[in-house]
Amino acid sequence: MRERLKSFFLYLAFWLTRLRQSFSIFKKNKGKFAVSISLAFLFMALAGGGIFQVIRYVKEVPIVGNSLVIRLTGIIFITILLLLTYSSVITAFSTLFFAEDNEFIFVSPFHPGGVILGKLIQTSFYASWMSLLVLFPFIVAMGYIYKFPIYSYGVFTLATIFFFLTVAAASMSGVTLLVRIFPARKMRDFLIVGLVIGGTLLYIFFRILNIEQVLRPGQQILAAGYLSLFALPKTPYLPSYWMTKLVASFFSPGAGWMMSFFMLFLFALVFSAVYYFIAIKYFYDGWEKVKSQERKRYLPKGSFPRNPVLAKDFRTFVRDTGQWTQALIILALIVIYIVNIYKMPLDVPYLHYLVAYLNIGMIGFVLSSVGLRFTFSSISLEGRCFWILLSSPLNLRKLFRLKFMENFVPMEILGLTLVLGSNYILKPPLALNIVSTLVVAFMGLTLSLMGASMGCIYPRFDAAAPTEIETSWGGVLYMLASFFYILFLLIAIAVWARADFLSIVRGYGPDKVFVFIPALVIIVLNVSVALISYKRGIRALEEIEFQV
Amino acid sequence: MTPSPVKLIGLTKKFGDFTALSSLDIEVEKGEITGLLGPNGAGKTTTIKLMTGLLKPTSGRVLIAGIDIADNPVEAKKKFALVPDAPFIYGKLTAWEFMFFIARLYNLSKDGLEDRVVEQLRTFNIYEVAHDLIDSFSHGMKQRLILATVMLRDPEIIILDEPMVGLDPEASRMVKNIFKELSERGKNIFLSTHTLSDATELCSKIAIISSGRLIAHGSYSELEKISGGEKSLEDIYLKITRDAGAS
Repeated sequence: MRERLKSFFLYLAFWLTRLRQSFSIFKKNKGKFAVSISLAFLFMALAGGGIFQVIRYVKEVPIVGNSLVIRLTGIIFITILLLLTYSSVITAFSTLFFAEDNEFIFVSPFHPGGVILGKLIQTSFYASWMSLLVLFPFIVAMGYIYKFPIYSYGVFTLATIFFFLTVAAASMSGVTLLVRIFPARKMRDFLIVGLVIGGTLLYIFFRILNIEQVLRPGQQILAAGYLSLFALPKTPYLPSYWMTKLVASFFSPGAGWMMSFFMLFLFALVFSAVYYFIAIKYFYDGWEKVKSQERKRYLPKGSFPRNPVLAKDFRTFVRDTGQWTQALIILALIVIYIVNIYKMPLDVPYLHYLVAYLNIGMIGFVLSSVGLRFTFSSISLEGRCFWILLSSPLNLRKLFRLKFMENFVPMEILGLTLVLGSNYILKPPLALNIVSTLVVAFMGLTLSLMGASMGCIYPRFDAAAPTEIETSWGGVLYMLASFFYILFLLIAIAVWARADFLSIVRGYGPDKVFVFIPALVIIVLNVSVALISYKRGIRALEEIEFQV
Repeated sequence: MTPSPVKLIGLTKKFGDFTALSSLDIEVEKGEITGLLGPNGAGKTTTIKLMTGLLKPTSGRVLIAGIDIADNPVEAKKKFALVPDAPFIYGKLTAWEFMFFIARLYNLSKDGLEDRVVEQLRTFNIYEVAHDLIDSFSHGMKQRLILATVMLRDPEIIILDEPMVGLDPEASRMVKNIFKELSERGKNIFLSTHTLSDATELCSKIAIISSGRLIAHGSYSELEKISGGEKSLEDIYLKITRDAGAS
């Protein structure tokens, strides 16, 4: 027992040291730390504000307000449970079977029991920290509205830890057993694809239920009816049920929190024990099996194409599950986007115009997110193999243009599909239709160039996964730069759009000043950002140093 | 007059306040195998990265076959092949695809290319796994694959950083024989190594660096004199590096 505990704490210390190292950039640069913390707080403040409004709104429903809040809490916890399960399953593959430290751990004098429990904490942390960004504002908003007692925050924090541990332990047990039967990588890919498609279909189902109809002023009765549509699984076998009961106990007279708290503790204990016994028996065998499953053959089909880098990037993309599954997620987001536009309640002509205008900005943000994942990351994704290109006689200007074109073409197709698709549904006036299409075409070009350029200025060749590149300092800067670029673009279009809409109402064309000046601003903004990005990107690539 | 294959002039590299390499002057003569020796952290890998354009010098110049790599990187890079210390290559390509990738990247002639690829894959014992993903290769197999691409290209200059690390004794022997044969054909080899027996066996000239400075450069007999008559390369190396450390 002592050995197990010693190994458990040693493993945690080992992991925490590595975790701390990944944050060491903030120690060197206080500015980066301040910006990152501010962004996190801004997000939580916005989320908190939104949750606060929704809870207050639902609470106001006559007679059944509090019951509806409990139901809403149930929906939140069952959603978090589903997301956590998805995230824990995917994370468990990485922390248990694809972890780089496994070899070191197995040759070191760690007790397997300690490592197994350490990996439970590790998986639980990686899989659930994001949900804290929602849970924290949620409990603060609830506590503020219902005046929760101080001790309830402590109880809630501990219960949340039990909740996270339960989900992680259950997922890890499932993954360990699955790896015994199926090949690990195929199983993981299959689960990712299945869960993305399932999630998209589930979302479309919710949208078909027309949630927006019930959030209009004076529609609280409808809200009640809507919430009652959700036949929540009221089974005490799910930890989300006890989390809901726990939160409800803080504002329901006579309801005690201790039973729910004890049940959550019991869940964590039982599932951790089950995981421990499964993992101690099968983890090592599973890992050995994963190590021996690497061999994969691809027989040549014709000669290697003329452009070797393009061919290499294409084959790597297709064969690397980590890359194309992200493309699948983006595809799912596009479907969700189009369904959202389709289901939007647009019964006033003015709304058609307004939504078509705002749609330009939304598409801009979709493009910048895609740009972050693919264009910004394209040079960094060369990783430790970048020496091959950098020491070759490949012209670096050509390499920059190639990396840009590889991403610009799909990005342009994506942007134009979104704008033409949503305009087809929204049916805006012809002028706005043309302007939005042109602006989105411009945005595709400029955002791709910005991404390619900033990717060269802030490369991360040592990143272990694409997410590390996206969340790097350069990635944050790219998102900020994209945000301001889109904002300026929207302001310029707004000047024209307002004049154009008024001219439709009045029946005569807009003043030419409101056409030419915004057009000039849009062209100058795009041309200057694109040119600066192009020149700066090439210079950065030519000056790049490969220190990995 | 034919320019020297590799000429480093006052090569200096600083990382912030830390000077990794200080005013390094080395000239390699045609057909030589030059070994770069030095303790850990002496600046061997930094030197090789500067020579191949992976790093930019703070000051000084690198001339490859008379071409300044800073002024004309594309032409200079056509002249050499690099074998790094850690064989990172695209894991999602097969060995076969990687050979063709390199052939295209360096614009090699298509005439008989497939036969030459097969020949090199056979020479380096990777033909049997040519269609497997590189991800499944061991360190040594990746190292051999990189060496196969080098032989496929047949460049004038070959720059290697610890080339024997990860190779089994059989592959190591084969690689040494290939180096000797290449040198006899007038090719130029510049390698960094920790293994003094490899340096003794292969190198016609040896450069020793310590703390980023060149402390000795010459043939085996010249180094023997500098060390004050030490006989084995191990003794020569230890004497010279200790003396440099003391001063």
